[in-house]
Amino acid sequence: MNILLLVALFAAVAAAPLSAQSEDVLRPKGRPGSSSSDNTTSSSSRPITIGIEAGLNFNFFGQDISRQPFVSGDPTVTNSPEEVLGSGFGVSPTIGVFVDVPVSSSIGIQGRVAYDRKSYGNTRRGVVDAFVQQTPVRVQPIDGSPNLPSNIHGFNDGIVAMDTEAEVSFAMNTIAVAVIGRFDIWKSLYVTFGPYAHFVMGDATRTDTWTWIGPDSTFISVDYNGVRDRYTQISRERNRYQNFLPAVGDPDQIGAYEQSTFASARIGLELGAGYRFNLSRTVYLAPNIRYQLMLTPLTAEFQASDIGSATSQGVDRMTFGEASLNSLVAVLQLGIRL
Amino acid sequence: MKSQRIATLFLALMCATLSVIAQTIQITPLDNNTSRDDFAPSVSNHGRMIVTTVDEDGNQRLHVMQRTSDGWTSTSSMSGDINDGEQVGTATLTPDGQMMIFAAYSHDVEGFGRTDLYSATKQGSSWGDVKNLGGTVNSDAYDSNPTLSADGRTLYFASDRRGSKGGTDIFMTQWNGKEWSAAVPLEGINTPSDEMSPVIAADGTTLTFSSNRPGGKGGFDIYVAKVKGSTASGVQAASAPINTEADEMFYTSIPNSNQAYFSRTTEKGDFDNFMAVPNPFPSDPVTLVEGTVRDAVTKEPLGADITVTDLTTQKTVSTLRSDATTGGYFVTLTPGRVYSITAKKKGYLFHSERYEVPPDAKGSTITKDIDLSPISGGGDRLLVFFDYDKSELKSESVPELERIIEFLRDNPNVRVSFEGHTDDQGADDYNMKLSEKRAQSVREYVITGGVDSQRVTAVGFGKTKPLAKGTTDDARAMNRRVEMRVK
Repeated sequence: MNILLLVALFAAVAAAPLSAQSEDVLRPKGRPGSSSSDNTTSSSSRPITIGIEAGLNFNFFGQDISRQPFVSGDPTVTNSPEEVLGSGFGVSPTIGVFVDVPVSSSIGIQGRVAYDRKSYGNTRRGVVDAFVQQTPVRVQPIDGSPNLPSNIHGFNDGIVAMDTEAEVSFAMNTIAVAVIGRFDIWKSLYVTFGPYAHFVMGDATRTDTWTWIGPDSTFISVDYNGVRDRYTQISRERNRYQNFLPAVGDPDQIGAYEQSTFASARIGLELGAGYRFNLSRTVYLAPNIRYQLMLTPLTAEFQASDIGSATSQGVDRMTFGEASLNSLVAVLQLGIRL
Repeated sequence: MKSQRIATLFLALMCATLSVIAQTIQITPLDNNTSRDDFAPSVSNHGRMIVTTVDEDGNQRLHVMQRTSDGWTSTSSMSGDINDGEQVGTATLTPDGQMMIFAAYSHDVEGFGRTDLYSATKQGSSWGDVKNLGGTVNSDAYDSNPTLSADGRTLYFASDRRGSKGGTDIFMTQWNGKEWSAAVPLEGINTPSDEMSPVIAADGTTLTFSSNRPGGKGGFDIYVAKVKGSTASGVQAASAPINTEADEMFYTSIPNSNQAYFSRTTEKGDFDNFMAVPNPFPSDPVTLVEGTVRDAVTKEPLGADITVTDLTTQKTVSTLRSDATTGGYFVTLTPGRVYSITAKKKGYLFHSERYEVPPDAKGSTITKDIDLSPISGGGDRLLVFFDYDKSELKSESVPELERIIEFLRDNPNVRVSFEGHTDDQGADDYNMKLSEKRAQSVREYVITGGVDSQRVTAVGFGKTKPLAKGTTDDARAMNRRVEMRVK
């Protein structure tokens, strides 16, 4: 559906310049019989442009999550901090070079190569099931008593609902390549449309943080690495090339079926618009806004279970749909006409 | 008897033949036409400069050529920001050649859509300060082919905007001293066909244009009409050899000359510029006033702002600027009218002069040089004149007095003295008091205009300092005056 919308938008804006592309100061409708392809112009009259660009990616992450609770009717399933994995937003830099080769008075082809960092993050507050005095991560009353405080009411025998806040952050570095059509639609205003691809460099960095909020007088007694102490927050960072459920345990030990490898190369479509502010006859600044709709998912569908984790939802089976990561990009181009 | 009849018939035939020969219009292509489009010749500087549009490999550019003793120079692209657009051309120049209005498609200076009209000013040897004429003139449609009246206050152009009768129509707009009025169609001239390339002659009434309306010789033909206000009448087509099966456009008459320039498509399909002699559609003869503005002390040429005011109507008829390099200026005036010509430049005492264009000056060129005195060197300025035995200010003096107020506002550290004078008639004591009254009248007017009274004084000299010798009416009128002297 998104692709159809993108293509429809492109068709609408690309049609605009076709009617005005041959106009000059003498001929409002252009030369009789002329079109953009039969205009005989030299390279000097339509110069190639080279330049640099820099800007920001506004990244939007999303993946569907469905759960099958271990205990039917478990209230924590509907208010789960694991929803933190279902969406995300982040801002990251991009910087690159480009070349614009005119093919007519109003149409050009832009080639771009850029360092393109993609990142997102999310925070979600909710309740989790906690097994009292069990390992590896557990809660216990602050006085060391095996009995729970009176203000804590277990859902099931030995399991209590605890307030937590989950946070996830993700970043990966890519080399982006695009071959984009430029269509001037009005004066210095133009639209761009074409394929975009990026190639991941190295591992993606993902950080999972769980913060204990309450009830009062409780704490986390063991962190992710099995170190005993009184924690109000436990956190771990892993450079992994997989999407996974952090509550399962050590991510390095999780089974292959409980993770999904990131796509090393992704392709998509880009629709953008720009406006040239000429600083001189040969130099211009052009703010651009682009939307990159990626056709290749970030990860494929996978399933995981957190039933064995202390800070868990008591979920027997979680299904993660295909993960998408699209971007709205704002860049400023500095172009030099040769 | 019979031989006499034969001789008479022979003479008549000879006269008729000579008459036909004399009226034969010679069409000559200009030597500097290129292999691509050359069109829209705009003549300025008394026919000594032509700005034309040249197709440079698909991009139209404004070019200029100068007339020398060896003929026209080859064209060269105009320098500066003016040509910074995808398509730039069809320029019209003010008579002084200091300002230009032109059309551009996708100029670096933003417009309102498609081809728009822009202005540019001469800056030394290049053209810059490019400005869009604004939304009252331009539309989101095609706006091009501008032509400016000799007083620089009426602009005609072609547009295919909504509301046109069909294709392109001719529109007009007027300059009120601050902005252009909302453009309106020129009545009586537009048809469902295309009307383009209007050119208003120096007389301000003769308008030539091109149209592909039915009944022509083919393609675009040249037509001529008379305009008054926003209405054109008396439209007639040019005949051969002006109009042919080719496209003819941009027919431009040289004022007070038998020459005209126009553009025509060639067999190759591109436009070239041509000269037509004699011009079958000459504009009414006008009086051309040209001169040089100089420093009164060093005689160096100065670029000064010049305002020409019709003293009868109290309306500014022309605002122009002398060339910064040569000091030259050029203006078209109507014979039989009285004008005030004022020149201003920062650091100089302004010059203002009452100037009557003789009724018999039609078709002539008058030279009038202007010297500006530096403020630092003191100097005086002739201001206003009075009727006999009167000290009341004449209405025609008002523009001059307003310029004094403006001058004193622009130069807040300057103090001046108004010096009154009389003619030679009457007693000395009476004339002394009359001259003081005249000076005082001017001083009070200036103070009323907001000038600090401490900066202006008034003194009378009676008949002791006549400007003109003699007892003629003209000499006495010249002597009944007030002058301003910088202290």
